[in-house]
Amino acid sequence: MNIINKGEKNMKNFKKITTLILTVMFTGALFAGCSSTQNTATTPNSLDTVKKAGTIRFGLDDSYPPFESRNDKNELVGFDIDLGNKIAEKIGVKAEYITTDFNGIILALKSPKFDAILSALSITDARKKEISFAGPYLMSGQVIIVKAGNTTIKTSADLKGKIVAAQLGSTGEEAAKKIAGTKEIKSYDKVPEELQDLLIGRVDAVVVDKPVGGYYIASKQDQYKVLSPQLTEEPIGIGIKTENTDLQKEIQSIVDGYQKDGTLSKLSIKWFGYDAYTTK
Amino acid sequence: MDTSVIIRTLPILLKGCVMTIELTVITLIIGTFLGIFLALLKISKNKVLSLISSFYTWIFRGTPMLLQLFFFYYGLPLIGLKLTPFQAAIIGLGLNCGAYMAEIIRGGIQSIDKGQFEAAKALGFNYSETMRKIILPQTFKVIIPPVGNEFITMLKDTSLVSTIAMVELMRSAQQMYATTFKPIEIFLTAGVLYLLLTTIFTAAFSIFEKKLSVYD
Repeated sequence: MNIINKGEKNMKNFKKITTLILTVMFTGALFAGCSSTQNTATTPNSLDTVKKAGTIRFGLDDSYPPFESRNDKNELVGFDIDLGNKIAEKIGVKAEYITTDFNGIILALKSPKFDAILSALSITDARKKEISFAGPYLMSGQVIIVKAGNTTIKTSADLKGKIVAAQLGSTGEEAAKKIAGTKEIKSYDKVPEELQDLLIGRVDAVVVDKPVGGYYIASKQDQYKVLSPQLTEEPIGIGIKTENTDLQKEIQSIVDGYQKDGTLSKLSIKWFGYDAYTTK
Repeated sequence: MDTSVIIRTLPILLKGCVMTIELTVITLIIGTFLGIFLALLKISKNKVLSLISSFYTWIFRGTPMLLQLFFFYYGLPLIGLKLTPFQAAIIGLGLNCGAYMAEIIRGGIQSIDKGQFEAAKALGFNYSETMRKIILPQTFKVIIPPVGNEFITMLKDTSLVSTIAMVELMRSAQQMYATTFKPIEIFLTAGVLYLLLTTIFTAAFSIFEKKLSVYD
């Protein structure tokens, strides 16, 4: 090759180095992709594999206090976290929490990105067709929250012509859609966004789980009001992939045990302020 | 593959499509005019104007679109400005598009031979006439590929407004998934619809480019 002057030589070197760097980066990216798929391919999905792995992975949406949320130190805290830790303890493994969007949580369980869903998941017939449940570990239900000082909305009948907010893919959204005569149901990804828009005035009411309503009233008393007739009665359960029958049986017996020996009552008083199990 | 699900949910997805198209068209109109304005500011001899334009493109290209949308929708009400999801979407998308278009158009203007400016001056055109009648028309042909890119990107970026409670194609697909639990059918259909829209854009741009190349 004829290199005529220094400028041309520099250009050729530059091209060589650039090509080399790009090749290395590209190959590196390929291998990075490979290793992450390997991890998800060998995921544990029954009781023994969980025990062997030494960890049980729970999937949840971390913006749903008091079930699950983050504190100032960005640590996960909540009823579900305490329950998950206790279940892991009984099985003899550690608990790991994978945060995910609530709307895709069942899809994520089936792929499987984790071993079980522990995210205030209501047991419904439609969901039972897709996955199985251990539990119920709590009886909850939807309530309506309005801005404090709102005197026009007292029951679901007053929601005629109003805009109601709910979380996308939740039973709250289903319940909101069943209310007759509402002007619009707005679906949000996260509960804090709904409550924010309630304060801003873009929506007239929010439909959400009772303990969640209770949490927001307790922490921001003068801003919200929870309406008393509960909209629905919903059992909350732990979602498990249908074919993982061993894991389901184990978690079921652990949860039943905790209910009998009062552990669940203690957690309920800690996180909800009352014992949700006395009526059972 | 459950085709009955596709047939049932298609009307709702198409309705979402209409909103996507609406958002895209309005955003592109705002973005283009804003882009031309900002590009001219940036190449102006006035240092202050040039700095204003640089600052604008720096902010809007330097932060994620999602952050901008959240700011306009959830942030502004705290200082008293309450926007509807549609308004927040248009403003967020439009201002963002404007920043990118500004750089594309500026690049196009600067690629026009300096001789054109000189010839215009020699013929007695003032700055405004030079831009409007000589430079910008030539710029259009040059910037078609990057503008085509930007238009297609904007069309897909409208899916981000699903996070500020606006219902367009992506949100409709998510809602349909939530009620049917059939991700493959739903997201495949939505994907095909997006592909259809972007293909129409691509085809339109090819025709546009051919027409402008008639004199080459």
